[in-house]
Amino acid sequence: MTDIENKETQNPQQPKRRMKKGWKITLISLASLLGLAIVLVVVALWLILTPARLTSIVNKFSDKFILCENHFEDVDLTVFKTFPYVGLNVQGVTLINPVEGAPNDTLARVEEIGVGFNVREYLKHGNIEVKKLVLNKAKANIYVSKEGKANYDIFKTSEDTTVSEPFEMPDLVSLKSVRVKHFDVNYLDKSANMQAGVKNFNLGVDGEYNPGNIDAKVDFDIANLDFMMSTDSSSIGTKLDNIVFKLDGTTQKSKLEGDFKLGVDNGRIVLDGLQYVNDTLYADDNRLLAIEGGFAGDVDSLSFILKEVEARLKEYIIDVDGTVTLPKDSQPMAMDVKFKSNTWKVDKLLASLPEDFSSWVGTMKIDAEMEIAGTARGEMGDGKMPIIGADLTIAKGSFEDRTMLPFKVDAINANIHADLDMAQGGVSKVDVNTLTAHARNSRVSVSGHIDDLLGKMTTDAVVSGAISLPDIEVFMPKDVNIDMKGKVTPKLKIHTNIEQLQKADFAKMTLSGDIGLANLDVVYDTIYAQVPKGNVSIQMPSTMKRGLFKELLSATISADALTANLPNQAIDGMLGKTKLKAAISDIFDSTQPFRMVCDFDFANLAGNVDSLRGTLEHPTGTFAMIPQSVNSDKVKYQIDFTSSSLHLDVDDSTTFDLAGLSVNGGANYDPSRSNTLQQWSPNLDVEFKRGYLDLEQMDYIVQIPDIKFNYKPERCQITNANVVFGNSDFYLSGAVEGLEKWISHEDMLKGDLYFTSNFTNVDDLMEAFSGMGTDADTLEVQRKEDNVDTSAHPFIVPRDVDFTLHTRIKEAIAFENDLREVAGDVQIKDGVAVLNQVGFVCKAAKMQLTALYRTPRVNHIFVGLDFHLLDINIQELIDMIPYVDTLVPLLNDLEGAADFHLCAETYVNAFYQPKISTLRAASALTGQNLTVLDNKDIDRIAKLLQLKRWREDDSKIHLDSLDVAMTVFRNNLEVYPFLLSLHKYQIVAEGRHDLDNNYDYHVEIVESPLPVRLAVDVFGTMPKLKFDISPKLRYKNLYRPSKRNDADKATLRLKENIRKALEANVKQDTRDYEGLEDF
Amino acid sequence: MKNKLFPLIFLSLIALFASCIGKEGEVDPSLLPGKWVNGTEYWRYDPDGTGSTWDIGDDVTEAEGQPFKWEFDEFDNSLTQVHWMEMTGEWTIPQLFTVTELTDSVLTYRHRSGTVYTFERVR
Repeated sequence: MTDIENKETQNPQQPKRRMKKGWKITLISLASLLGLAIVLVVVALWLILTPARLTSIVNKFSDKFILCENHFEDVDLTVFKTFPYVGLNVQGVTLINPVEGAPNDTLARVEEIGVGFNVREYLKHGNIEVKKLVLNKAKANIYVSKEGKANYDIFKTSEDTTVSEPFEMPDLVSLKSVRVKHFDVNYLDKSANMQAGVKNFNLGVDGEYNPGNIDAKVDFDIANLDFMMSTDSSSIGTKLDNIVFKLDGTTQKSKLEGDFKLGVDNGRIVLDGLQYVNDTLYADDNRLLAIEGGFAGDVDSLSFILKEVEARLKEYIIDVDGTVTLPKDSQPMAMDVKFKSNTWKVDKLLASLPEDFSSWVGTMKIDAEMEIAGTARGEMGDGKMPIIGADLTIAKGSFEDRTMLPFKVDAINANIHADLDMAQGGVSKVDVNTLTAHARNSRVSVSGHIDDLLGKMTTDAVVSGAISLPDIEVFMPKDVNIDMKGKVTPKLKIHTNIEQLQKADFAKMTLSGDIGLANLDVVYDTIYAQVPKGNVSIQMPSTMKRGLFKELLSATISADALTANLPNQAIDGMLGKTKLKAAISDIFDSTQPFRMVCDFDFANLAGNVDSLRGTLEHPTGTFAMIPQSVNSDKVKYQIDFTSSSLHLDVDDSTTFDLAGLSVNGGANYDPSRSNTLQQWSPNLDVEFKRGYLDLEQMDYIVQIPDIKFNYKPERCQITNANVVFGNSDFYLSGAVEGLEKWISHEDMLKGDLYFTSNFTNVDDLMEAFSGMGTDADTLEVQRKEDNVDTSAHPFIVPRDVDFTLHTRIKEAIAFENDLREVAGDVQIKDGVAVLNQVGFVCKAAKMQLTALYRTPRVNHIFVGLDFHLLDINIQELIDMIPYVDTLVPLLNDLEGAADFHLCAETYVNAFYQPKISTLRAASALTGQNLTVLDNKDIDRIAKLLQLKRWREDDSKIHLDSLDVAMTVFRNNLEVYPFLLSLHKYQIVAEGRHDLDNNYDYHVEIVESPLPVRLAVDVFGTMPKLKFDISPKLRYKNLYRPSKRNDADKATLRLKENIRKALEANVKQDTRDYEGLEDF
Repeated sequence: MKNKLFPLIFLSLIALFASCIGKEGEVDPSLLPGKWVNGTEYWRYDPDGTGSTWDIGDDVTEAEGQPFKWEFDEFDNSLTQVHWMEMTGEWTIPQLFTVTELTDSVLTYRHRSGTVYTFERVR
C-alpha cells in the first residue's frame, strides 16, 4: 500500500491538465479493450474455431492492434458464463509494456474476459450484437512518466487524417449487462505527481440503451481507494474504504430521473496537510459518508431536482430538497433548496472538525445540542450568491473556560434565525429570538437582532436576567478594587457594533434599561454602599451632561433606603427614601479614574464625618466626585446642596441645629495635607436660617437667625451673620482668613469684621473667646507655672489670631459699665487686644478709649488705657471710674463738666489686681466754670489763706478754670503745679500723695486783693490731714511769665508736654461725636 | 583796711561754700551701673543710660522688667529717671532724685519730697 498521506509533491506541471489527459488515456484504454473484446468475439464467431485455434488467431490478430507484448492464454466460446447470450470467454490476458521508471512491466493482467452476443440478431440480421461484458479478476498497472509517456499507450494510431465523426455507440454494441469483478488498479502519473490505487473494484451495470432512452441500474463498490496528488501549492490525499455506489435511473430524451446512493464506510482525507477526517471522526462507528436520495432533471436546461436527499457524515445528517440549475451560457447557477439537520452534539462536532477550523476553541469546553434548518435560494456566480436562511436551535448548552470565567455557564438554550447574503453588497442578519444561560447563581437571557452580520455587525439586543453580583466581579477591570454582594435583575437594551466592541468604545454604544437591586452590598475601593431594595435606570450615552468630565452613562437610582460610606470611611451615612441620578466616567478605561456626578433627592441623611455626627432632612442637590488621575489621591468635589434642616453633634460637646441650609461650591480633597480643613480645602457658599449652636463651654445657646458666607481656601467672606450671643445681639460682616493654616498652627487666623450691635455684653464675649487659639493643656500648664488659683479666670487674649472688629454698638456692658453709642476698632492680635480709639458716649461724657490688653502670662496681664473724657460730668466720672478720685482727690469736691485725659498702664494678676510696682500713669484735667462743693478741708485751707468772700452769694466756690497735670509712678502720684482762679484770687497748688493716702501738698496764693501772700502745707494721712502755714512761698512767679526762673519754666514745660501728649490722641471725630447714626 | 579785707573775706566765703558743694559731688557715677535691690524691688542700671526695674513681690521677673532711662548730673548729684509708657510710646514719667551715697555696695538717693531710698548691690 502506498503511503499517500506522506507523499510529497514533486511535479511542477499543472495538475488539472494532467488529470484530464490521464482520464482521457484511461477511457481510451478501456474503450480499446472493449473494442478488442468485441473484435475477438466477432472473429471467434466468424471463424467458429476451437479454443486453441481461436487462441492462436487472437494472439496473432492482436499484434495488429496492440503495440506492446500481449498474450491471450485461452480463448473459447461459451453460453453459460454469458447466458442468455452466446459469449466469447478469454482467459489469461496479459499486456506487458516496459517503460523506464515504471514500477512494473506488466500493464494489465485479466484472468477472464467474457463477452455475450445476441445470436438471434446475428442469425436474423447478421448483426453481431454485444449484450453482456464480464471482466473477472483484472489488475492494471498504469504508469505515466515525468515526460508524459504512458505505458498504456499500446494501440496503433490511425493514419487517417480526416476529421472523425462524433462518437456514437455503434449498433452492434447493445450492452444490457456489464460485470466487473475483483478489478485492481495501480496508477502512477509522475508527470502529474498523482498516484492512485483501487482495490477490488466491482461493477454491475444492467439496463437498456436505446437512442434517446437509457434505463440503467448501476452498482459498484470498491474495497479500498487511495489517491494522492500534489502540486507546489497544494496537496490532496485520500484513503477510502468500502465505497458503495448505486444508481437506478432512466433518461428519456433530455429528461432524467432516478435514485442514487453513495456510501463510504470510512477513510481519511488530507488536504494540504490538514486532516479532514481526524481521529475523532475516524473512530466514530457510523459510516463516514452516506448520501442517498432521488433526483430528476432536464439535461437541456441543466435543471435538477433533489428529492429527499439525505447526506450523512458520520452521525451528522442534512436532509436536502429542492432544485438546482447548473450554469449554461449566460444562465447562472441557481438553487432553491431546503435543508434540515438532525440534532448535532456540538462538543463531538467541534472535536470532529479539522484542526484549523477548531483551533479557536482552545481551552474552551463547549457543548450543546444543535439543530439547523433553512433554505438556500438564489443565483450564484458573477458576484451573486444564494441567500441562505437558517434557523439554529441550541439546547442543553454549556460553556466552560477557567481562563476566561471562573465558573461554568450551562443551560444555554437559543433559537436563532440568520439570513446570510454572501453576495457582493449583500447584507446578512441574525435574529436572536431567545438565548438563555445560567451560571452559578445567575441567569441571563438575551434576544435581539444583528444586522450586517459580516460587516459592522450592528446589534440591537435586550439583556435580562437575575445576576448574583459576586458572579460578575470577574468582569470588572483588575485595577477596580470592588467587592459586590446582592442580586441585580437587569433588563437592558443595547445597541452596538463589532467595531465598538473590539475597541471597547463604550462611549458610542447605546444602553438603556432598568436594573433591579436586591440586598445590594458594594465596596468600591474605600466607598461602601448598601441598598436593601432599589432600581437603577441606565442610559448610555449619558443623558446627564455637566461638562465636568466625559460621561459614559447615566443612571437613575431609586431606593427605599441606602447606607453609604465614602472615602476611607471618612463619611458614613444612611439615607432614607432615595432618588439619585448619576453619571459616571468610562469605568472600563483603565487610564481614567472613576468619576461621577449625581443629582440627589433624599428623604433624610444620617451620617458621620470624622468626629461629626449629623442628620439632614430632605437633602437635595447635585454632587460631583472628580479624582485628578488614576495614580493620585487628590479628588475634586462639587456640590449644590439644600436641606430643610440639619442636626449636628461634634464630639458630644457641641450640637448645632439649623434650617434652610444651602451649600454651593466644592472641595479639593488632598489626604496629604495636615488637617481636615486643608485636606478638603472647601470653596463653599453657605446660607442657613434659625441656627442654634450649643457649646459645652458656654452657659447659653448661640442663636444664628440667619447667616450667609462664602468659604474658600484661606478666606471666609461673611456676607451677613446675625447672631444672638447670650443677651447680646450682633450683625457681622467681613472676612476671616487663614483658618486652615491656623488650625495647623502654621499661621495666624486673620479677620476683618464689621460688628454692629444693638446690645453687646462685652464680658460675655470675653469669656467666650478667652484663651481661643491656646489649647487647654497649654493654659493649664501656664496656670500651674504661675501658681494661679483655680478660681481665677482672667480673659486670655486669643493667640495666633489677628482680628479687627469695626464696631458700631448702640448699648454695651463692659466691666459692669453701661456704654452707649460705641464705635471704633477692636483689634485682637496674637495675645494682644487693642481697643483702638473707640469713641462712645457714656453717662458722664463723650469718651474715647484706646485700650491695650495683653496676656503674656495668666498671672501677668498688661492693661493699658489711653482714655479721654470730653465734657465730662465729674461726679458721674467718679461713679464710672471710682479709682479716679484716688488719683485726683480734688475731683470729689468739684462739680461741673471738664475734659479728662488719662494714660495709664499696669500689669495685673489673674484676679485683675494691679501690680502696683508696674503702675505708670499720666493724666490731665481741664475745666471751666466749676463749682467747689462744701468741704471742711477746703474751708480750712481758705481760712488759713485768709480768703474772704470767696463763696459769693450761693455759698459755693466757683472755679473760673482748672488745668491739672499729674503722673503716677508705682504708688506715688505727683500733681504738677496748677492754677485755681477763684473770683479775685489765684491760687497755685501742687504736691503728691501715695496710694496709702499719705499726702504732701502745697497751696499758695499768688494773686489776692490783700497785700499778704500766704501758703499752706497740707500733709498727713487721710482723713486726718494736717494744715500748716507754709514757711516758704514757692510759686509766686510761676504764672508771671516775665519773672519766671528756669525751674518754673521747666516745671510748666513738663506739665505742658504731659497735657499735649495726652490730648494729642483725641480724635476730632470724638470731639464732634454725637452718637451713632441709626442702624 | 576794711575795704581791702572785704574782697578777701568774700572770696574765702565763696571758696568755703564751693568746698561744701563739692562734697555732694564726691559721688562716683561709674559705680551706678549694676543691679540693685531693696526688699523685692530691683533696679538695673545699664552703662548706656538705660535700665529696667521689676518687683518680684508682684510676680515680675527681670525679663519682664519695665524700662527707664537715667541721667546723673555730677554738678548736684541729681539722678533723673524717666520711665517708658507703652501707651504713649514715649519716655513719659520723670522722677528726680539726689544721690546721697554711692559705693560699691550701697546706693542711697532722696526724692525731692524727702523720701530716702536705699539699695544694696546685687552680686
